[in-house]
Amino acid sequence: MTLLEGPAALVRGVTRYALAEGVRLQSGDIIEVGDKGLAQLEFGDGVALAMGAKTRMLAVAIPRGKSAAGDYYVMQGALKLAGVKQGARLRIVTPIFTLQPGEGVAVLVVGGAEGSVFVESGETRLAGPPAKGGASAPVRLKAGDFFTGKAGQKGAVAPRPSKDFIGALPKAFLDPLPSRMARYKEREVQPRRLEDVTYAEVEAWLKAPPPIRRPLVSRFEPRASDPAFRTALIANLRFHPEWDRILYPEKYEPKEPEAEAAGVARGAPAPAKAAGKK
Amino acid sequence: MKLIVKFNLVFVLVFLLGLVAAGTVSDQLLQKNAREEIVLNARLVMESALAARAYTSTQVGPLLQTQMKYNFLPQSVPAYSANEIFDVVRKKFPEYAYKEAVLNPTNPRNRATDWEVDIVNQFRNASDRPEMVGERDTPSGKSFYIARPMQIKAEACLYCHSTVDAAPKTLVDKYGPANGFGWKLNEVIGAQIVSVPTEVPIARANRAFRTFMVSLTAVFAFIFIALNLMLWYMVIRPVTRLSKLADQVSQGENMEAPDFEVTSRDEIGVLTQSFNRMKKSLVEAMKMLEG
Repeated sequence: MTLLEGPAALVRGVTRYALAEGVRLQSGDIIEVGDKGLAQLEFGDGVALAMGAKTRMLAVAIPRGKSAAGDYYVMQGALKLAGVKQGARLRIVTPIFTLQPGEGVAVLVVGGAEGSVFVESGETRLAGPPAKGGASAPVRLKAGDFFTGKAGQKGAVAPRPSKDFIGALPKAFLDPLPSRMARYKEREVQPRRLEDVTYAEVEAWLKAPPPIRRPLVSRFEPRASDPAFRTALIANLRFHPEWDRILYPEKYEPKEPEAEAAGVARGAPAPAKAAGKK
Repeated sequence: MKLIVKFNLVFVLVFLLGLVAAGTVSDQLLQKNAREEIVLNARLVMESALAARAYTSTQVGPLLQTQMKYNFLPQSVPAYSANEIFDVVRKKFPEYAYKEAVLNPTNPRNRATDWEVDIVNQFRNASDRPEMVGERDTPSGKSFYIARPMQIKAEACLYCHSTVDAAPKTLVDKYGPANGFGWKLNEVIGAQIVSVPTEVPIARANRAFRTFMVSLTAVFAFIFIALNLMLWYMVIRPVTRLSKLADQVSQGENMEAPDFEVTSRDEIGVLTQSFNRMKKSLVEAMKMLEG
């Protein structure tokens, strides 16, 4: 993290931290920029990734090393990606599309059920959202192209960005991203620990599309022992049914033939017993 | 004719000649300075505009290059910044004007008007002509202008002005596809024209001339009075009294009168001493004749 304006939080593991300049990004980190904030990540391979206010991003899988290679899930907000070189193994995944920058600079805004991408320079490829496995035919965007798409609909490409899109961008995104890598290259800052996350703080992530939220189950499993967290999990179980196995492990235990037979004899099936615990 | 009259006639004649000569020289000098000031002002305005253009072109434009991909920012255009800066200057100096008069401009406010078109065409017919200066009548009085050709010398200019397709989309969005295209390399597309009022410096020169002449006349008048007083007290009055006494003595009257008082050692004093000696000698001679 080489630039930070305003408050921003980092969720690492099950703990919430106050983000600070100089913090190194790790796989699984969730970054949440405050209402009037701006944050910028820089990588050793020259890639810079800036996030505007209210941006929520998860570093889904980033291999160890100094490059920006990896998958980043942007749930909402504005993001500017610069310095990407040809062949970079970097993907920006959103609920609307998956962006695979070829090279150059791309800016995207994701909010609600709509997402837009403007290619400042170079070119980039867009595929369908992760829920659909990126199966739709990829769209190739060149410099100056502006893509707008809505969830479940085919997107459209325009020759210039819309006024709404430009208006939604942080002012800083209209300029080249400044490089502050030299300042933090040799200096690592540890984020300040705040507290373990509450359900409300990670609710959006737990309700994300299955490919994103499923790996989070094991991560946040320790928090299920917290009564409030557990209660909230149970209340929202229909949005993340994969937690059923964590909340009611007994439901998934292998059934002993005798007990099952006894249960059948008594007319009281095991799942009904588990459900009774709810 | 009395001595003082002769003296004053000569003095007035010399004064008038001096006044005319000084007036002629100073008027020419002041008018020349006023003209030079006008030209200097015009050149200053022109150089300021060129500096604004260069600053915009080399420093502001590159900074806004990325933003131009989102919105066309006229602030990145040298002509715009020069005009904007000069508009601020005009609030305090409304008689001054700077315009980048172009035959086919992108921004309509830069379109050349009738007399400006003539200047541009003169430059187009003689592209090696570096500058034109002249005067023209305006509703607010005479105005001096200095004009320099705007020639497309860099390929970079054609990025925005060659064809609609090649121009930045944001520029076309803002100004439309009709104007400001089709420019060619080395073509004179317009002229930078600075107009400065001649009235103000000329009026200032005239004021300075009047002040100078009035001051000079006042000085002459003071000298005139002072010299007349000096002449009266130091020459005319003693000579008149001496002459009156000499008249009386020459007619044998007032021979017993006391010696004329010698109050100075100048020529009048010497004359008085000589007269006193002459009177004494005359009295002695008269006494000898009577005795």
